[in-house]
Amino acid sequence: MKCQILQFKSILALIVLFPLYGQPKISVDLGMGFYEPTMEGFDGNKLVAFPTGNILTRNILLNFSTYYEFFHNARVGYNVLKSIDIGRLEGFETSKPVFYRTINYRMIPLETFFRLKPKVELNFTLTPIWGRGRISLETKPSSSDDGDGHTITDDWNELLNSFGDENPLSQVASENGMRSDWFGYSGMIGYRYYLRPWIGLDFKMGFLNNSYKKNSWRFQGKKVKGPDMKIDEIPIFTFKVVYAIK
Amino acid sequence: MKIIIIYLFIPFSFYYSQEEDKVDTNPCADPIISFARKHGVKALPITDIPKYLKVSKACKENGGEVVIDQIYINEYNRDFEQSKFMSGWTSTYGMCVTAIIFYFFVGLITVEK
Repeated sequence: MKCQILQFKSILALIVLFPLYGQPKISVDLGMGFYEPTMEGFDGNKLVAFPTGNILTRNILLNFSTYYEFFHNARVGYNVLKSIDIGRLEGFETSKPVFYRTINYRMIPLETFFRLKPKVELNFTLTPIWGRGRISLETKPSSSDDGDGHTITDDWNELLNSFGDENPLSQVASENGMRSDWFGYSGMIGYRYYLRPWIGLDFKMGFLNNSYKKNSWRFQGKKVKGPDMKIDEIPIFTFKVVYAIK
Repeated sequence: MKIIIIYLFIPFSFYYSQEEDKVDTNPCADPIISFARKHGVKALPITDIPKYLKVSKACKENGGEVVIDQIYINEYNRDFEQSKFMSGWTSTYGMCVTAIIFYFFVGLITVEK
């Protein structure tokens, strides 16, 4: 029994001490991406005037990722690229609801790499994408002051009509967001320069391919039509700061 | 006589008391620097990084620039030795990714819409 306790203690000591002397395997990255999708459903909408697209809401993506290095030349991680748009909608009959739109490209990248020089790394990434688009309207229960009975449902119907959905909603519950999920894949080649052994600047270029369909949006359990967006076969560039934490 | 002996004994006991260990003021001799020299900065727990940065700055100011630079050089070299060649399946994977991206961009340029 005494021997077993000793054995247990020595194994425990090994497990506890190992991370202290191991090189870091986990890193956290923060940065931004740049791409050029075509958002015809928003920019070319004839019925509703969506907030005017600019470089921040159309082309810039916020990027957060974390990686685990499971091999000398390979790491696996979780990567999120997020596009955000917010503004007030014009062109509705009586109301001006606040509009939120987010597109998340969630990835589980598998990345292999090698060091070209002690401070320079080249990396190769291939990843599946689980994309999610979300649109929500912040509107008053009765949007008009003159009491003509214009409701949230009317606002949503106007929005969906502008996307080409002719099938009106009869009633909208309090949770008012429509969303769509799709799959895709992406490939990237990257160049990383280490400023310090634990901090690096990473630049990647590659492509995004998403199987987005405008008919597969859901609103409170009902299938609705969403905006026209071309987010397949688009080049993408990302720039981020990498910090090795453990 | 007793009193004289006591009066003499007490001051001399202080006088010959053990000297205090002199605190080493050289920041380059700090244990955290020794640890970083041996195992690398990345092996330090994240909570010790601010202390390391403070001590390494002090060490540099005390003329220990070479010591700190050597820590980084050793660490870069260690990482370089570990991953300067792609081993096993990783090179095939890298080639596949390169080929996919190459054909994607060739297609983007050449295909007429």
